[in-house]
Amino acid sequence: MTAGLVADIAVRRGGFALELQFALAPGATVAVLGPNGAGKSTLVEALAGLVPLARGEVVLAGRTLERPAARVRLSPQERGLGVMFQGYCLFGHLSARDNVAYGPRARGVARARARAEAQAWLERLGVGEVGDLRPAALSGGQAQRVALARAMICRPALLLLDEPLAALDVSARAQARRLLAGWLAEAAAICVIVSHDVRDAIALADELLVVEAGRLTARGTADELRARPPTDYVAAVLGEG
Amino acid sequence: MSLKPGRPGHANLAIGLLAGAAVVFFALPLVGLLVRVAPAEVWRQLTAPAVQTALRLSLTVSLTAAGLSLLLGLPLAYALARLPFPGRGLARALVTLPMVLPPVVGGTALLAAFGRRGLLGGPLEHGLGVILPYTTGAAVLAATFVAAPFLVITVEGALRGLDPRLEQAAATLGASRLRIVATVVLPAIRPSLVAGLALCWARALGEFGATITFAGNLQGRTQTMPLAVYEALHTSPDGAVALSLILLAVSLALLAALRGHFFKGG
Amino acid sequence: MTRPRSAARRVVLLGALTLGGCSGAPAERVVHVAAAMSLKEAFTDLEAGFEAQHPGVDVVFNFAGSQTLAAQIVAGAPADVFASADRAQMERAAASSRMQPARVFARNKLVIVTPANDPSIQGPADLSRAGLRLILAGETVPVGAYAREALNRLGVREAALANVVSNEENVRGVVGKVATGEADAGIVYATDVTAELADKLRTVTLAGADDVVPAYEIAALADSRQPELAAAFVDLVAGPAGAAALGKRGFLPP
Repeated sequence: MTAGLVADIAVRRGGFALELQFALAPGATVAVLGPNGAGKSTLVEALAGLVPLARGEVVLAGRTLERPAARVRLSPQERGLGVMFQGYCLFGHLSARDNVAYGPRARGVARARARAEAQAWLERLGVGEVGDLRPAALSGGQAQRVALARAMICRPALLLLDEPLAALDVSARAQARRLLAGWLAEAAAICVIVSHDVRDAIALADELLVVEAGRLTARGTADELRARPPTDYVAAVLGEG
Repeated sequence: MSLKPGRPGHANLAIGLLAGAAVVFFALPLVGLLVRVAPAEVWRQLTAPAVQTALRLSLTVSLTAAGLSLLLGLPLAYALARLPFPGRGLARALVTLPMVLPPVVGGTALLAAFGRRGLLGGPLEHGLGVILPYTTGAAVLAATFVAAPFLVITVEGALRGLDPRLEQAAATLGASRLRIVATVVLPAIRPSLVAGLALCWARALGEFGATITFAGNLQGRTQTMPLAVYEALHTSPDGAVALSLILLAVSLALLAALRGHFFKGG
Repeated sequence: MTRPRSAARRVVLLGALTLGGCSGAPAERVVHVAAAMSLKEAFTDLEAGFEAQHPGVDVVFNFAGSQTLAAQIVAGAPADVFASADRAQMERAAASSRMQPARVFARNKLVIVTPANDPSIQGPADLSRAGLRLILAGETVPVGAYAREALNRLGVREAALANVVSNEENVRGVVGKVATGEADAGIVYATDVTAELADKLRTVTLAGADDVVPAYEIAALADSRQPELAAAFVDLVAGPAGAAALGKRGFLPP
């Protein structure tokens, strides 16, 4: 399992506690499904190094990203993950192209090369024409692709997507879901997709991790979980999906 | 007071009268300044060597104070908004204090700290041979003391309003903290930074009480425009009005430059 | 129907009451005396006696640099009596045609003051020492004008003025800054070394400038609303009681 992701996570935040363990094989794409407030975004933040673990460890491809017991804690900068934040969090004062080029620039790539690389990624995701636009001028679908390009450009070993489709309206959503599934399949990364929407989760991921009240309550394919739902929540969401 | 629906005309009339009185109250002194002195006199004052000296000194002192406020105030605003440290509330209160403190008290406090018998003044004089009071440096310190809070508070407010996830996003993309501040934080708060700096500079330019207390009143060294206005009031009142008009023009230009930042409505 | 109207009415009523409060006070007659800062203690000593002689009369002082008071009189500020520390400011006030003829009622003496613990200044010549931090009043302030004239007589004007770090707007500003040790020396009236400050200050005579003698002038205002009281106050100051009070505070006879 050393090539994949090992996550043994315990985070405390005020009165809330997130405690769960899971391991993912290289190339796996999983969806983290759960109700609002279950701790899904906290899980993303913990993996990305934005909140410290109280206990446990995160090991990616044999590299320990965090282990409080050994006082190991890599900063978000050192982890080299690709994170797509909920609502995208694009930099409003930069063009779409410079948003995508931000990662390479921060890692020391010369401006011209970073921009060319960014433009190539925008084109690959089908939004080559928006390179000069500021985020405020982008449609929801365009912003989503710019954010995805920004997260993927440095070819991270782990890609974290927090509600990647939630900001899109219904008409754009089906197509975006299909395209996103395709791009993620092409990426060599382990993908962890947080979603509160069971259709998105099923369409994008091979396997579902269900988080309820800070605990992992179920894991499996949609069919497995539908056949034997371990909790009322799982039964309810998969029943309607 | 009862606010039953009935005859709103009366209430509106009262509000209108009082609001009108308020506008007259603010406008009348300015009109008074404008009609009191002939433009030729303003020009004559503006070209008088003593006035030019005061004007130049005022610009030097206020711009240096604004620069110093930026140098110290920006990291402070960032720390207040972003770094949880013990005593943060106290630090914020301390920084805000000069905004509400009578400036002359600020000047007295500066003397108590940097005066020759002050907390730091003694060591400064005997250790480094530096005597601050009654120097241009003292005028800069006085202006910084009263003006920097305007920058700090404005910038801190903007930082608090800034989505911290933008900085987190930059961090996951590999940007160092310094790079994040330079490429994400500062550009995002630039309008507030400019407004805070302008307010800070305007306050520094108008500073009087702390300056005359801590830096004294000497032409070319510590006599800034407001001190020159005050002195002229007792020797040549028309000159005082002319000098005031010059400062008024600077203030108006500043407001015009900042319009849109403070005056969204109307 | 009456309720909604009451709000607006109350605002108007409140305004009327507030304004009324200013003019509706019991009719006590007030004598406004604008006097040079250095006269503060001596004139305050005279207040009780004057008020005892004139029941129902309140003397209100405005102590400031004479140049400030003259400017206020020229600008039309209400006053009944003006006592100036020099002739120049009395003449400036008189140019407004508001002043009655003035008379000299006291004289004073200039001295050098230094912080009590600093023995380095022995005479006027030391005022031109390089690096000395000298405080004077501004050149239009009477004590500032007298000081410059004295320095001129002593032949150290240029060098001493080069040492000036601040021009204060009245004599007490000079005294205070020397007493707190922020300045090394200042030139003030002998009467400004009051009992309160005596232990913080050392006095050095301004030998050689004895012929620069500060002279105080007093006059009633021609447009005083209390002409008899104004004249009475001037007479008090210029008379024996005034001479006694001034003498007690160290002033010299006219």
